[in-house]
Amino acid sequence: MEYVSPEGLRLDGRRPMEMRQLRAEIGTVAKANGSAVFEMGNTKVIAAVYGPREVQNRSQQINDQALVRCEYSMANFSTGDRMRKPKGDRRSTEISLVIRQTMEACILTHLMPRSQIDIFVQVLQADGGTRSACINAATLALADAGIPMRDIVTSCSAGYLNSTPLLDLNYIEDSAGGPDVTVGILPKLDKVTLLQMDAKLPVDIFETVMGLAIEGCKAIANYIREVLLENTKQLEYRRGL
Amino acid sequence: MEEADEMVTPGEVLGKATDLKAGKGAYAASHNNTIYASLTGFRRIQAPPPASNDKRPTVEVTGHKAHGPVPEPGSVVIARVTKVMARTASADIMCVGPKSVREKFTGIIRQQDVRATEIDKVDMHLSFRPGDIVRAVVLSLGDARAYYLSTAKNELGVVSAESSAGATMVPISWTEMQCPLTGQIELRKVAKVVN
Amino acid sequence: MVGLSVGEKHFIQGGIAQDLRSDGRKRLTYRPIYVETGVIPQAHGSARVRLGATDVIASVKAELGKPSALQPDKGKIAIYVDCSPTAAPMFEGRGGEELSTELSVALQRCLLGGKSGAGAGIDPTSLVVVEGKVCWDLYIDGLVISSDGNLLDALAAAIKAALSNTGIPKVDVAVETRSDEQPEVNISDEEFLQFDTSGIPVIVTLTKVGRHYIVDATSEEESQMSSAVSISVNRKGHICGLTKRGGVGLDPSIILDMISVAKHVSEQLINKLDSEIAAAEASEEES
Repeated sequence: MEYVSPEGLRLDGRRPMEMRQLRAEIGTVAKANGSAVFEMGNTKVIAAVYGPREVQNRSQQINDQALVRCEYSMANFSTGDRMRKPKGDRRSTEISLVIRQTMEACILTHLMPRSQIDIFVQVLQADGGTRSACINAATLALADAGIPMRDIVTSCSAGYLNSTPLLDLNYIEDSAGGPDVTVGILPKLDKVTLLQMDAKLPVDIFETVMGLAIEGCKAIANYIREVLLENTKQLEYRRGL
Repeated sequence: MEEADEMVTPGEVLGKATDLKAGKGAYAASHNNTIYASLTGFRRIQAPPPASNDKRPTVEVTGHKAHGPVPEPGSVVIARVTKVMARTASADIMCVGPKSVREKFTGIIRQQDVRATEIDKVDMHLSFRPGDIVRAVVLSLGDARAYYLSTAKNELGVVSAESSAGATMVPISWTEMQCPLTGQIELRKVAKVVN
Repeated sequence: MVGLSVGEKHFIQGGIAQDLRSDGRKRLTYRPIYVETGVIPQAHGSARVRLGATDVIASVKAELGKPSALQPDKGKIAIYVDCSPTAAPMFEGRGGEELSTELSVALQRCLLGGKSGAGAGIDPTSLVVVEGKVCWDLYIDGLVISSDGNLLDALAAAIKAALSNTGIPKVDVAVETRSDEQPEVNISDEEFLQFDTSGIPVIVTLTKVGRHYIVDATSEEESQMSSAVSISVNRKGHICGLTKRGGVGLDPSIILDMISVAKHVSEQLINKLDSEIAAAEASEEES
């Protein structure tokens, strides 16, 4: 199948280096300490952060740092074909773990010993790149909760189809069977915290694809910073300062 | 001197560790001696206290989210006594200073911390009853379960208590409280409430 | 979450007794209701309803299936509710399952009527394509995103809005099929059929706190309830279903009283909801 037309357009009309439209909203779940909605095209996820709070299960308490927990769930209607999956299948567990490890790396956990931070991400619509969207939403929710972080983490994916590197794969491109590189970075510190790839790819092409994904992460980071600053401005304005 | 200027987001560079000290909402990375922001909010620079030897100003980031207060050693708390045992009394902390807490913090008043004198002759059951409202000072973070509290000062101790008849009692001395309905006198470690 | 102190409990109960609740509402006033439709483009119909800090999404998906042998002239409708852990940490893992099941069963009872399909808000016979062979199966999914009490009313409102937003593709059946074969069908991409949603009831939950009962309780108020009765009422004022929760017994005369109050409240709620749905549909078409 042809994923990039001779004119250099993708199935959804994007250029190979073009990202889907981003949209973010902070503070959607009133009861949570921090929350955010993040959309990448048709992929839409909600993240909520509860904590730092007392550890619920004493045996899990860590004496010199905070316990970070994460749960990823998909709504029944999030995929194209409706299915009723049991909670906690292997894919969800794996993604929960990935998100937890990525977020743990950026939270200053040593400042909050003997406490617990819960991150819940809920996928409302899945159209490729849910992993990345979840991490971006979780970052925003953590920043909204006022949890100290080394840097914001942003994530983006890139692939390689029809001998063209493609940024931010959607569901159809994702299921095409080509390589899919998901990268998470700390943009200001310039460090990679998450890197996953399936399928095979020559090393020199891998370098370009990863570079493309990192560029995507940086663009997302700029957008997230804008959203955070805008949100803080709004709050200050409402306080009448 | 205090100046509030630009807004920052986590990860932004605030300055060099040689010129500035990291306060709340900021952290210093040891590998390149740089100070980064860890919260979203306004950057503020505060002059060092005149007494200290360190002449570097402190940089802080104040976020917009108000966190619930957390007791720390030295803070005065209001607590409700939940359980009285032979050597200790446990209490739930309700307020830290003037602010009410958002989460549950438990405290323990040990026998030796009830009053300043004759600390070996204290009978816990004649000092507190469950349900009493106590003003206390936090001694230390205590063990994994509870903060250690102390009432060993004149202005600390029971500030409000109900008698067995169910009425709020009136303090009559630093060890006694009287029920206005029955006239019965009960023993407590009473706080001298100063306005 | 920290439990309520004695003072706060008295404040809530006292406010309800004096017909002035802690957020300034009267006993029988709903919080402002916001409806947004078409939030899930992948579904056939969807809606998001917000009632104060309570936030729910409902989606409708239709799939072609085979009607059951016992009821060859009826399509199948199923309602499932899921409580997302974003709403409260206690829903983590399997923690929300009990509440999810309770809500699903209550919604099925209130909206779908009995086993025979009589009294259902949606006419199941309208889902049949070829009698005994092909019918639409409707899957209605509710998702609780943020919870501040009165989930059942919010979910019912969201389902009503989602169904008004639903378009089922038109199906053409190949004419020549023998009676023992599964007919070939052709699903149209362009033509959609709308449902008649005027018969779908709303649910009004009356929560009894002290000696009085209130509508649209927040979670603080729900923590003080002795019992709650959820009544589903349609536009004609017929009662379509009823569920009582909570451990304390109720006097039969009070229940009858509650039902007549619910009927009265539901008229305003249906009108409000219909105008909100119409506004949401209009703004969706614009954008």
